[in-house]
Amino acid sequence: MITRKTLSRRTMLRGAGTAIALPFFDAMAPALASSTVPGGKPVRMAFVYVPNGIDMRHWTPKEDGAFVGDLPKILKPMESMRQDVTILSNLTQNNGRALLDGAGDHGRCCGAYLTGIQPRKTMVDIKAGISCDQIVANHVGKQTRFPSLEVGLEDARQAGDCDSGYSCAYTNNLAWRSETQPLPPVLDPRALFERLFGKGAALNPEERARQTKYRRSILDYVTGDTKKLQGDLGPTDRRKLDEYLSSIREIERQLEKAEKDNAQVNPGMPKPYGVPADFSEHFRLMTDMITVAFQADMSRVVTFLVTREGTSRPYREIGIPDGHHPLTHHMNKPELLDKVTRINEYHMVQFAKWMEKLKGIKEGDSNILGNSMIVYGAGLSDGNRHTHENLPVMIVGGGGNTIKGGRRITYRKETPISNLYLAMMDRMNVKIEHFGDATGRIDGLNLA
Amino acid sequence: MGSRVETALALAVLYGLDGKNECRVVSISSTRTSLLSAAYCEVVGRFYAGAVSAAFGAFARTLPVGLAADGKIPGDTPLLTGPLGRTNPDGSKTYPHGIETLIDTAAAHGLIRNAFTAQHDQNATVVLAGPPANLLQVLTLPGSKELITAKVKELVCAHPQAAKELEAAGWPTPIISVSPSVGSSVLFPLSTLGKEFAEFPAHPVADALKAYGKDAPTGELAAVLYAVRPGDKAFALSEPVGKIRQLMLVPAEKDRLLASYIELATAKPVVRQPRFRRPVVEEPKKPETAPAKP
Repeated sequence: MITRKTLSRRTMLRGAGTAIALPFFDAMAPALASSTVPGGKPVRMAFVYVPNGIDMRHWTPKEDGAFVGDLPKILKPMESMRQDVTILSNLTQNNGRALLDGAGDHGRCCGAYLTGIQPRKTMVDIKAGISCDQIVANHVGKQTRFPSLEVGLEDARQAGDCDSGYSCAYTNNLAWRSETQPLPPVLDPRALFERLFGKGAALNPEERARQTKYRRSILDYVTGDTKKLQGDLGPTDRRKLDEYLSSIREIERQLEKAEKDNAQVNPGMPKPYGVPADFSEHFRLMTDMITVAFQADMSRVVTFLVTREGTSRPYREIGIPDGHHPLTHHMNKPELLDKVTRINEYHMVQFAKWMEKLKGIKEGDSNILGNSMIVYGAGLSDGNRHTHENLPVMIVGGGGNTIKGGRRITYRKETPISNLYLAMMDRMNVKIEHFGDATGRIDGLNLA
Repeated sequence: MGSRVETALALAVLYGLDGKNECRVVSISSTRTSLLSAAYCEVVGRFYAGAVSAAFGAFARTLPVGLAADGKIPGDTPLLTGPLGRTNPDGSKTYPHGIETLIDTAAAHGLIRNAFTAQHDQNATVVLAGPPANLLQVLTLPGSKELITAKVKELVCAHPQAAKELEAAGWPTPIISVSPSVGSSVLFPLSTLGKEFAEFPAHPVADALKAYGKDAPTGELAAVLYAVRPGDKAFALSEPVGKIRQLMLVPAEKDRLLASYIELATAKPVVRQPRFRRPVVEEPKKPETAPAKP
């Protein structure tokens, strides 16, 4: 006879103005359930976008099939997770090409990236298409607190000309709820924190700063619920709860530090409240929160625009004062190419740290990374020539035990990247027949 | 590509017209499931390098070649193995190419669809030299009929059966079908190997003609020439039956037509200047000269 009491998947820690979702505990699994039970663990999907293309010389592994030898320079930070990495070659975004619309590859490639539609060249009446992440969010979003999260690190302007007549709405957004409604990324870590955990999201910066001065940890508001829950959990789940709450506290500490630093550092550009001056710190804060959101199944769909397409952000953090975009028009000058590669590597270092974190969080017999599909890539391959074929595409994670990693798969030339999105939507249990310019579903990702 | 020598000759005529700025070649596909078939198309493209155009030509690269992968028309033929097997005295390939595996080719239906997306309305003409498999697949893509209606002026089929199949599948534009007698009434002479083609140290189309070994029919050449020069007086059209009109020859124009075929098929490649920015080559520093003494 089975008498074990199961905990609801929707259990939350509640307090004044606060509701903290919880990670997946063993106690939430039905008695005798195992990770092989379909639907036991949620599969997550995320898109991480870097701008201005990638130096493909140091991105593409030499051989097709299982990785042999060291990973290429830019992928090196992923070395410890090489078995979780799949490089997909020859995928193309045809709708990023001019197709008679003239200049504006940066605007087009980002607007088309997840929509599979050629964006209308305009600064006023913007039009693209619903993005694949939002199609998934519409289907699975009801099962989570947030259908999707949109996160970024740089610029969320929605108006004006950002590339040869293309609205900034195209270069500064990845997710599109409808063909005319982009979803701007959240840049401010505090805003994301408060979106996830409540508390004062609607306050203006001055009030928020005043409140911060007297802030207690958000965990203090839920002490009563926490104690009660601890009593209901077994030792493994109790440890998991401790780790989870500690990670939230750590994010709070990072936020407080960033806000304190911001008072002292002048980044030389307007930044939203609470945005750390340090790029890697900002990256870590945002991805830590996405991690918590995944852990607690607050959302299964994320788009992360690392920096806006066409950005001219300098990377003084790594000794590169030149703007990223001008550098990518390197005209094959070795010293400029080297700087582009270093920026690509720097992005990858930050990304790899996040992936390590996801891999380190156990979930049933696997870990969060094993139950995720994180696509890392760009809307251009060669930033110098603005090429839209053979895009840099890496998919990290096992997609809920459906993707075999540790290899490079090369598809036929001109294979639409939308074919990948259809294959990913299948894995999110969202079955649709057609998306964007897809000609079918990519094959070869499967375990067998 | 690979079944008939006239397909190779038609490709040469097409690139000849491209070289004269009368058309732009924007997409090439083969229905033969043979890597050599795609390789041959690429070799001809490379031969005319610079005569390719569109997004790819802008960067002085050959067009990706679409290839059917359904295995319905498999196998290599002497028309392919002959030219592609040719070697230089040092043992290297006379016609190097980059097609070693299927991933060096494109799925034909997506490639053709993408080419349509980059054309001005009613400014594209599709020439079908062989079976319709690739175009039938294009029709299965969502939105393709609307796209074809917008972009394509007409489809010219070298073989009547292909025209009928495409009409039945709902091809949305007018279709021109080359009458069977057209190909046999004008023959492309083998003797061009010793005359016009003799100017070239190596020519992949001449090598295909050599492998064929006799005068070649010209139905597919007529399809290409009509597609680009629909007003040519050598051609006449029947009244339409459904969407299809038959293309016929005007007998009095046969000699002039043959001269056009020969001129275009044996035209020299025209190299166009690429439009992309060339890599900056550092100029050697000039030695400093001592200031002139007062």
